[in-house]
Amino acid sequence: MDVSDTIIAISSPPGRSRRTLLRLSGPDAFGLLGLSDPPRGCSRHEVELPEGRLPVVALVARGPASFTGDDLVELVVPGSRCLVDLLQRRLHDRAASTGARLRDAGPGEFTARAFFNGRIDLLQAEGIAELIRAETDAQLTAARDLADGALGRLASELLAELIRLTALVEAGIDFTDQEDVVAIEPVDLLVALRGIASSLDRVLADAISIESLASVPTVVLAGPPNAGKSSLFNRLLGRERTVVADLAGTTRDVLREPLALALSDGVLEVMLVDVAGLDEVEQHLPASTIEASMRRAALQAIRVADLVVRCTPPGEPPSGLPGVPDARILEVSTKDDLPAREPRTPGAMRLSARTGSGLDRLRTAIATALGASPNVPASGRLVLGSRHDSALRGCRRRVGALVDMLEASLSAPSELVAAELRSAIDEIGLLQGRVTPDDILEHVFASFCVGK
Amino acid sequence: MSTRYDVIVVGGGHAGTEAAWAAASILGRDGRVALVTMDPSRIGTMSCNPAIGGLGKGQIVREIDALGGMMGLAADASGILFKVLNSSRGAAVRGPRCQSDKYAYRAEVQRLLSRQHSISVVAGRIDRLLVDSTGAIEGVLVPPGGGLVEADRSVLELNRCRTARAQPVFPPEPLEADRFVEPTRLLARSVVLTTGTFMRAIMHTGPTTTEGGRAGEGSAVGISGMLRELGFELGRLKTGTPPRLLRGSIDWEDLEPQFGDPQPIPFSDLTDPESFPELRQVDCRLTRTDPSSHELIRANLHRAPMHSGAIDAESGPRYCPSIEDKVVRFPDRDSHHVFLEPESLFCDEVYCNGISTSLPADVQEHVVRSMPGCSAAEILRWGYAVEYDMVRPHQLDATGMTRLVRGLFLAGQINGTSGYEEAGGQGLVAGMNAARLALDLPLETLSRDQAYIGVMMDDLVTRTPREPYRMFTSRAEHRLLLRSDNADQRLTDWGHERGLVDEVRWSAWRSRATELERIRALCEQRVAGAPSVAELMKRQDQTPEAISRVCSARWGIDFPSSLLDRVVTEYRYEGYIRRQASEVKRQRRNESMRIPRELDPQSIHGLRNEARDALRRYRPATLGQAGRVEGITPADLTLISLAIRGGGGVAPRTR
Repeated sequence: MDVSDTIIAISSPPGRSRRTLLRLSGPDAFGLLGLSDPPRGCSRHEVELPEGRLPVVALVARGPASFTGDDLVELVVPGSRCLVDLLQRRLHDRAASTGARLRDAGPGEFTARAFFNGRIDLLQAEGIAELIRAETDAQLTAARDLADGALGRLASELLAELIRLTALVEAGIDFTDQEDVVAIEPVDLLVALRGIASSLDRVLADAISIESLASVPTVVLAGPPNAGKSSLFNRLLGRERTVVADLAGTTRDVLREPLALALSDGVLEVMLVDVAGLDEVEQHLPASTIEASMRRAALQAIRVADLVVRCTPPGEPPSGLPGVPDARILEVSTKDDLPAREPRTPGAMRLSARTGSGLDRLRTAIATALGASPNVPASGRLVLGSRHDSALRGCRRRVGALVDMLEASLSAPSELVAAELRSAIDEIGLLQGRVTPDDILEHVFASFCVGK
Repeated sequence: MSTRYDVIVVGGGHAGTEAAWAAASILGRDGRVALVTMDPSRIGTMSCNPAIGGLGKGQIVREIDALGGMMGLAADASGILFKVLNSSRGAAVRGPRCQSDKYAYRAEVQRLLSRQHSISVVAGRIDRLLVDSTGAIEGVLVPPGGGLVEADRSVLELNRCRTARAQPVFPPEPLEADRFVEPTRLLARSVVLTTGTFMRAIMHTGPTTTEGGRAGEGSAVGISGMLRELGFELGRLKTGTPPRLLRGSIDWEDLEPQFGDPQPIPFSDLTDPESFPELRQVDCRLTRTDPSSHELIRANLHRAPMHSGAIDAESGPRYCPSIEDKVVRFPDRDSHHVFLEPESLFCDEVYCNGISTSLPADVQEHVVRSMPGCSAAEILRWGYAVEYDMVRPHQLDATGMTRLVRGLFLAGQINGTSGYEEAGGQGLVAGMNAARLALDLPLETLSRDQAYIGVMMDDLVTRTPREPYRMFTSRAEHRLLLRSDNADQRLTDWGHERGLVDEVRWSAWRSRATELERIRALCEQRVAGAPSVAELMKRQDQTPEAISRVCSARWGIDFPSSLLDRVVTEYRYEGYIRRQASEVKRQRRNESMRIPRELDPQSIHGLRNEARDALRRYRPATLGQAGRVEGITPADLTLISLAIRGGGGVAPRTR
C-alpha cells in the first residue's frame, strides 16, 4: 500500500440507492475533480466528463484536518451505479493522462490512512491489521483466479513479450561495447509492438467492461410520470429491474441496463435507459436539491441518447423533448390494455407492457431506427474488473505511444523507447507483480554472448 | 605500541584510495587518516583491464568526480585512448571510457594521495581487527615489519617528464628505521576494509594454484577468519584475467585499428581542456579467436578450474565470461572478437580483451597463437582465475557501515562487486561516512534518483548478488536523470555541503550553474515570427550545431557546447523526466520513512514468514528499501508501515 497515492472507492452500501457516495482521498483528490482551492464543507459542483457535465454534491475536507488526514472529497452522485462507474473510469483516465497516481482503495484503506496520519489512535486502529490481512488473503485469491484464468494467461504472455523486447533494447544500450550483441532492428521492434497493440485492442474490444457497455447505443425511455416507462423497461429486459408502482414518480434514478436485440445477422446490444418522469420534478425547485440535479441528469441522458422512446399514456400530451431532433424520437403509446377512452398520440406505436402486445414490433423498430449492425462478438470474452481494465488500457497507451514514436522515426532514441517499454511493463506489472531490472538483465545474460 | 587516527582504511586499491581521499577531505587539515596496504608501491594498481569508465561505469566516474573524488583526475592524467561509448545515442546512455597507461594511472593516484597531508600511508598486512567490548571497532593490528612510508619526492619530479614509464611514488616497504618492531595497534573509531580479491585468495592457471590475490602478490588470510568470528556471513566469488602479450611480437600493423575520439573529452570538471590529453594518444587493434582453438578449449574443459568446478566459488561474472565459458555457452559461434589494448606508452605489454581464462598454459598458448597477427606472440603473463572471500553485502547499510560492528565499513570487491568504478564509488561513500562517524555526524546515503552510486549501494543491500555486481545503465530506473553530463548538477552542491568538494571545484560549478540558468532563460524567450530556441531544441531533427548557430545569430553569444548540449538534452527528455520526477516524488515518502533498528519482525502481526525472514536478513533502513527487498510484497509493506507507526507491532486485541 502506497500512502502517497490518491485512493478512490464507493463508500455507500452496495445495492441500489438513489444516490451514491464516492470517496477520494490523497494529494490529487481535488485536482482530479477539477476543484481548485475548494471551500470546506458541502457545495455543488459539476464534474467535466467527455460525455458532458455531471452535477454532483461535493463534501470537501482538507488534510490534515480530514478523517484520513489527507485531502478528502466525498461526492454525492445522483443516479445509478453505471453513472458512478463511468465517473470512476473517467477519473482513472484523467489520472493516467495527467500523471496523477489514482487507484481503487483496498478494504479498510481509508481507515488505515487515518491511522497513518495520526487521525485515529492505536486503540481505534487495532482492528486494522486484521482488515489488511483480509486484504492480503483476498489479493491472494484474486491473484490465483487471475493466474488460472484467461486474463492471467494473457497478462503473462504480454509480460513475457514486453520483457523480451525490453531486454533486446537494453542489450543494444548496455552491451554495444560487446562484440556479439545485435540490438533489435527498430523495424522489427515496431512490428512486434504493433502485434501487441492489436492483440490488446482485440482483447479490450472483446472484453465486457463498463467502458464497452457505455459505448453501445443508448435508448432512453422518456415521458411523463407514470407513463409506464419502468414497466416497459422491465418487460423489455425480461426481469424486474426497477420498482414499479402505480404511484407517479416512483423512478428517481437514471437506470441503465444492457438489452440484447436479436437481428437477422447477430445481436445488437443497446443500453436501455430509464429516467425519472420528466414532469415529475418541479422546475422551480432550488437548483441545489437532489431532485433538481436528477432532473438535469434525466435531461442530460435524453440529450446524449441515440434514440428516445417517447412513452405517452392515453389521454396525455407527449412530453416536450427540447433539443432532440424528430429523427431520434420513436413515438410509443403505452397502456394499450386499458380501454381506449382517452385519445392516443396519432402515429404512435401501440403497446402494452402488461400483456406484452407490440413489444416485438418495438424491438424491431428500435433496431431499425438505430440502423446499427450487430455489436456483440461471439464467445471468448474476458470480463475485466476496473483494475484489470485500467492496467491493460495503461499498457495499450504506452505501446501506442511507442508505435507512434517509431512510426514518426525509426531512429527514435533507444533510451526513450526503453523508458516507454518499462512503463508498459509497469502497467501490466500491476496485474502480474513487479518486474525488476534484474529480471531484464537476467534475460539479456541468458540470450546473449556478452563480455569481451 | 599504538597510534590514534580518525579513520583507518585497509587496502590501497580503487575503493581504498577513494575512501582515504574522501575521509581526508571531510576531516580537513587536522584530520588523521591511515591508509594501510601490503605494498604501498602498488597503490592504485589497475589489476585487470587498464581502462576506466564505460557504459554505466563512466557515469560513476563522473559522479565520483562531481563529489570531489580522484578517479576522474587520475584517468585524465593517464588516458591514452579516450572514447565515449554509445556516442551516437542519447546523452543518458553515453558512457565515457578511457584506456590508461597503467603505470601513469597508478603514479597519479599515488601523487594525489601524497599531496593530502592528513593521509599517512602505512605498509603492513592486517591480520586482526580490534573490536571493543561493546562490539564497536577500535582499530587494527599491524604485525612487526610494517611501518609508515613517505612519498619519494625525486620520483614525483621524474614522473613529471612523461618521457619514461611512470614510477611508483611510494616505496614497497618502510625504511628499516621506520619498521615497527612489535605488533602495533592503529586505533580509530572508523575502519574501512577494502580487501579486493585478496581475502583468502587463490589464483588458478590450469592445475597450477598459487596463493594470492594478484599476480606476484600475497593473500590476506587472517581477515576473513576474523570476520567470520565476528559473525559475518561470507561468500566466495571468482573472476579472471586474460594473458598479456609482448607488443613487439605481434604483427600490429596487419590488424584492424580501433581509434579513440578525435576530440577527447576529459572525465573531470577540474581538468584543464588546454593541456588535455596529457599523454600521447594511441589506438588498439582488433583480432579474433580461431575455430581450432574452440575445439582445443572444448577438449580441455576439465583442465579449466574456472569451468570444471575445481574452484570453490559460487559464480563468476556472466557479463565478462571467460573464453571457456563463451565457447560452452555459445557453441554455434566459431570465433570471438579480441581487442589488443596497449597497457602503457612506455612498455610493450598488451592486454587481450576477450580471452580471460583459467586454462593451462599450453592451451592459452594455442588460443593466442591461432589469433590473426599473433602467430609469434610472446606471452608475458598467463591468464588466471582468482577466487576470493566476500562479505555478503546485505549485512551493510547503504552508508557502507556494517550493522554487526559499529564503525566497520566495507567497500569494493569485498562486497561482491566488480570493477574499479564500482569500487571507487563505494569507497567514496564509505570514506565519507567513516569520517562523519568520527566527527559524530549522522551518516549519509545517496538516493537512487540522485546517483548511480546510490543505485549500487541500494542494490547491494537489498539483494544478494549471484555474481560479481557491475553497473549497467539498465539498473537505474531514473536513467534519464542520471547522466554523465549533469553529474555536477546532481552532486556537487551536495558534496560541498558535506565537505567532500573543495572551494575550487564548487565555485567552478556555481559559475557553470549560472551560465546554464542564463541559457535556459534565453531559450525560453519568445521571438515574434520564429520559434523559441527551446522549441527548436525539442525537435529531434535539429542538430546541436544548428541550434548553436541560431543562438549566435539571435544573441551573438557562442555558448560552450557542453552546456548548450546539456540544455538540449534537458528539453529532449523533458516529458519523460517530468514523469520520472513525479515518480520520484511519489516514492519519497516511503524512502524517508525509517524502519527502527529495534523493530522485531516477529512482533508484526499478520506478516508472512517469508517476509519476516527477508526483514531479518536484509534489515532495510527505510520503507522504500523494504519494498525492493526480495520476498516482501506490497501487502507486507503495509503491515510493516503500520508497525512502524504504532511504535512496535500492531497486535490484535484478544478478547
